[in-house]
Amino acid sequence: MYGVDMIYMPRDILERDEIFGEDIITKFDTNYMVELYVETVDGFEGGQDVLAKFGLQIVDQATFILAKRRFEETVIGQVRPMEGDLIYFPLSNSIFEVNHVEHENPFYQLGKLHTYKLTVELFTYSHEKFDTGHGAIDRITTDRDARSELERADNFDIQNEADDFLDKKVSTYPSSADNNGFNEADPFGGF
Amino acid sequence: MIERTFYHNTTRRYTVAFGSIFNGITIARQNKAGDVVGTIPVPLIYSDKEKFIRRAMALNNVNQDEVNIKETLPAMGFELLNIVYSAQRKTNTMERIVNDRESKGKFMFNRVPYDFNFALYIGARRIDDALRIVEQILPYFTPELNLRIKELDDFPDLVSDIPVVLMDTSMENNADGTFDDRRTIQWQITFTLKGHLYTNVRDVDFIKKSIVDLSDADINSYYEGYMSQVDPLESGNTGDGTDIIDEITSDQHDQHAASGISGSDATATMD
Repeated sequence: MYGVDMIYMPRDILERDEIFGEDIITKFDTNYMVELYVETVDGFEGGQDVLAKFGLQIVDQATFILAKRRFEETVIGQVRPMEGDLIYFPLSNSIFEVNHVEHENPFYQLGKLHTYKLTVELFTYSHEKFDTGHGAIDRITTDRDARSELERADNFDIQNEADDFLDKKVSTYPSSADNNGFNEADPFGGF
Repeated sequence: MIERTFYHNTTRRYTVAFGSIFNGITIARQNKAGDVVGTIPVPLIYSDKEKFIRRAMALNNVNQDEVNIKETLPAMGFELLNIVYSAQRKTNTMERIVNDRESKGKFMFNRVPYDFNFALYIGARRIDDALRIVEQILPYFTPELNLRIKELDDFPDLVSDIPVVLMDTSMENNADGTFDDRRTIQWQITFTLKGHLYTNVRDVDFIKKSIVDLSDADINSYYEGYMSQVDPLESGNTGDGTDIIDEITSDQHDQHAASGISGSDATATMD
């Protein structure tokens, strides 16, 4: 099979919320080099880059074909690719998340299933832990750590400008709440 | 009709003040035992930026070598939706706001009440993250929260309590549907900031010295009233005011003589 070398990263869920059904603490600490065939050869699918209310969204989607036998040979501890696992595509320096694994397409050619068809979309990072040992991947935790995200956002600019005209001593939020005690200027206040 | 150029930066000031309410929110990641394994400050942006600015701000740039992803969550954004006149808070238009601190005084006619409607957007990958943000915000609004804002640079004494009222909350969670799209959780909370807009500033001079010229005053009627009040001193008292009364009386007699009024008339008036 013709393919592109990619890095496959299984999702390791350390803490799970059983009621809401979501991972609370997730870690990606293993990586496996596998060959995947890019079915969408003309480029990524999905929408264009979207300006959402809280930032820029790169909505790139693609379809990868993964040989069933190759996956079983390479990836340890998993029977099949799982939704939520990640794939690093070196050519575009992108991390994709597996949205869906179609295991019956093509449909029983020669009486067997030979491939997985993976529908993937660029990964939404939510401060998961990365310790795969692959430098290009693990740097996501430093490039997008909380401090860097704040600097790219408006938090500090807003605070600096607000300090010029906002009287926090008597505003009910957040200074008096942070003090969490007696407010000399407002002894009978709520906080 | 509107000929003067003026701008008080009021809407921007309200926008920044509104954003400052939420720019310090941090959420914690906890394991099942309740131990905090990490804290995440939540970034906040003003949503309606110029598109090329937002593209340049983002990490996903073709000239950079950072790994490309879709986005980073949780995150928050806010924007000004509209400005609506608030007739309920209308006060007298002709009232004046005065700054008398400086030698050159300034004043403006009364401020005009307007409601500034804002929306706050919260995006998260997990329900738990979103709830940790929302539950840190909502309890502070009952349903209003007061901000104390210095509204105008030209009027440093003008510090106003501006209520920010929580109007509505809604949550969008597209967990249903095919596997082609991932779940995204987005909260929208709308607020009304009860602010004001201001007219142009006008200069005003203070009265520091007054000169009263009584030369053309009606002296007769003026002293008649004055002397009737000190009449007891005329009847034999020798207090300090006697000389003054005498002097005034003599002046009055001169005035009366010049105007043809007899002294007996004047005396009768004094009595």
